[in-house]
Amino acid sequence: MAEIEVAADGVVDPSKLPQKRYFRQRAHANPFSDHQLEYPVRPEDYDWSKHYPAHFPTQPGQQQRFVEFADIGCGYGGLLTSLSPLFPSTLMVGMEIRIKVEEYVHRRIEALREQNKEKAIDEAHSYQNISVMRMNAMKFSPNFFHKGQLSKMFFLFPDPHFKKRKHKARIVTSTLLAEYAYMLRVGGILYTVTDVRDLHEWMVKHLDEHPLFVRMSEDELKDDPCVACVMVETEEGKKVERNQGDKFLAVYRRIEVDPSMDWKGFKPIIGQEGEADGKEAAGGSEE
Amino acid sequence: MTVRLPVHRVLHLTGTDIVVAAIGRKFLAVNSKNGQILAAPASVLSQIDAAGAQVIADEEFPDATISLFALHPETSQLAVSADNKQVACYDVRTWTRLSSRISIKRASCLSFSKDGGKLLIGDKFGDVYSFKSNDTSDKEALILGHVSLLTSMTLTQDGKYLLTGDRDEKIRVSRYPHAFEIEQFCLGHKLFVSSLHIPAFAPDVLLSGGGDPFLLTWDFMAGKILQQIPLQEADEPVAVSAIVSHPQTKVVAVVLEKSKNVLMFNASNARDLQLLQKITLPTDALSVTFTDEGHLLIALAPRAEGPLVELARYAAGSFTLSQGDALTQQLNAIPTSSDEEMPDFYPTSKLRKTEVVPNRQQKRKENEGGAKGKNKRAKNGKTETAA
Repeated sequence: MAEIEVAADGVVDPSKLPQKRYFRQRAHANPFSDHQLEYPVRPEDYDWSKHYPAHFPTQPGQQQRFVEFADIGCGYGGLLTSLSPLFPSTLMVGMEIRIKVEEYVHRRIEALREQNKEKAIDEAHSYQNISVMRMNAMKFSPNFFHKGQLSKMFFLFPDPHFKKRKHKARIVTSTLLAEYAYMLRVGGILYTVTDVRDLHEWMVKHLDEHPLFVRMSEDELKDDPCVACVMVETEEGKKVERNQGDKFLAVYRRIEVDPSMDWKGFKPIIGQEGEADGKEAAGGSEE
Repeated sequence: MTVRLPVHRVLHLTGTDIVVAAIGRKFLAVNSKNGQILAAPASVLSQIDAAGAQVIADEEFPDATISLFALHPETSQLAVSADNKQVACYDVRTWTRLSSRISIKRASCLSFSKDGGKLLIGDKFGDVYSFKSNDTSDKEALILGHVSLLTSMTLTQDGKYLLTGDRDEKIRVSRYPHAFEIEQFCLGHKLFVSSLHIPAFAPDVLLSGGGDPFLLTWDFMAGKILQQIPLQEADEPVAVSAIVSHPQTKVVAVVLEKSKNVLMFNASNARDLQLLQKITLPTDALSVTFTDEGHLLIALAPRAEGPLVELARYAAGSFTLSQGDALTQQLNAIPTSSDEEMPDFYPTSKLRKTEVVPNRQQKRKENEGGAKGKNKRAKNGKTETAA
């Protein structure tokens, strides 16, 4: 567990920002294994008040809020804290599978709220609109979000899973895109950024092939304040900048399709693990 | 060592008199009314007297235990999957093999498209592949995938939606053939989902079962639970291995893995199922199927002796186990001793997640004092793969 920072008088100072060096964890987690996670049976069963105590439960006369932005694999929370003041009345949640990293983001948000507690709920920099949970988003997002609930999803610097047999564990695959399309409303936007060219090409290929997503042009994105945030405001993005590496952006809009469209299915994603006896008969379905 | 294999899968071809029965790596077909053997492997026919039966050459069968059957009555196709990833399609009028392939992963569920042109295979890696049922050379297309183990699959009666169930409690309703578009999730199970069934007489209602001690009925297009039906079996953990129904009598049969009781429900109101009867068997049931008359043919777990199958006859609203039917007599007379190893017939219970697994940090702390450093961490990481 993460060390708790204790002030000299032995009292934990809730407004003190956590230090990242106490919350490091290896960058990979297996999305297929059974982590100990708490998730509701269905979205309506979930108690969001622990995440947004200023917004839940809804007060009389107040409009019912719900999460509209999801940062999948939010890491150390740089995107959430930069988007928070830009959309002060929009609820956003970060999902992070690594326990220590989630704990860091949680303490970071708590501290920011404490430092700004004189601000109104919907005021920029109150940080009452952002939260984080430890979650395997690849398995359990539908337990949290209703159909069409989200207007934006972010996939920033995801685990590249370089080995071919690990490609199925990537966060953007043809089959997982069906789930993201379910949660995103029509017109909603999906952002991806990576510093790994191969992963960028992979994500673009799968998103391009998916009938429910269409890539947005630079022109369409020039007035979108999120673009600057996704490129520079994450810890990972800053690290790439320090090392003068490349960053690749691809942004897609959720669209509808003509029900009569002819569709032949996706090409199978095949790893090399355990394929020895499948190879000859599956014939050429491998890349 | 010689073992006595059970009949482990039975399936009646709706609207015909054909029942197919799987025994180890082979299957045979019998007439459900008079028990006459319609088709059988040469190795079986050489041991019994079955005049007029079609001989199926032994090499036409899979090289591993048959796992699943799927039938498409309108095109007379039977699909058979085996534990070695083989999937074959047969024409039940001629008993010729239409296609045979090795699927990408071992099938955990199998279904025909409404027109019978496509065969859909769901697997342990959560994916569903589609290919032409009668064309060995057709390449698989990936149509949907869960990040979980896929356990069950069914198409709606109109063929426009594909329902898939997984080990992580979820039932997904996707469009078909546009399976990239999810219409709905049916969320309500607290443990794995293992069986899905849409009764022919109630095409808007889904029945689902799994590791929970209850069955759920759904308005699946709305994702709403209609009814939660308790499946009390003392304190034994429940694992629903099959749900089937009969269109005319509107009776639903629920098979619980390793249970001696088959639960029969009256579903004349599909939104309000009532327990009709528990059929108690000498041993647990591996597979059941309704005949056209509404009787329930039950395949029994392996035993040293005793019948392989039982027939529960339906009359005046209740079921009675009967001996002496032509169908059961014929099936029970099939020689099934084999020098194959006894296969595992209980995959459903294994879907249960193990009790609280200590997470990696805890494990590492407990192991502290031993070898430290990167190598050990890498090793731990590797052992933590999907079950």
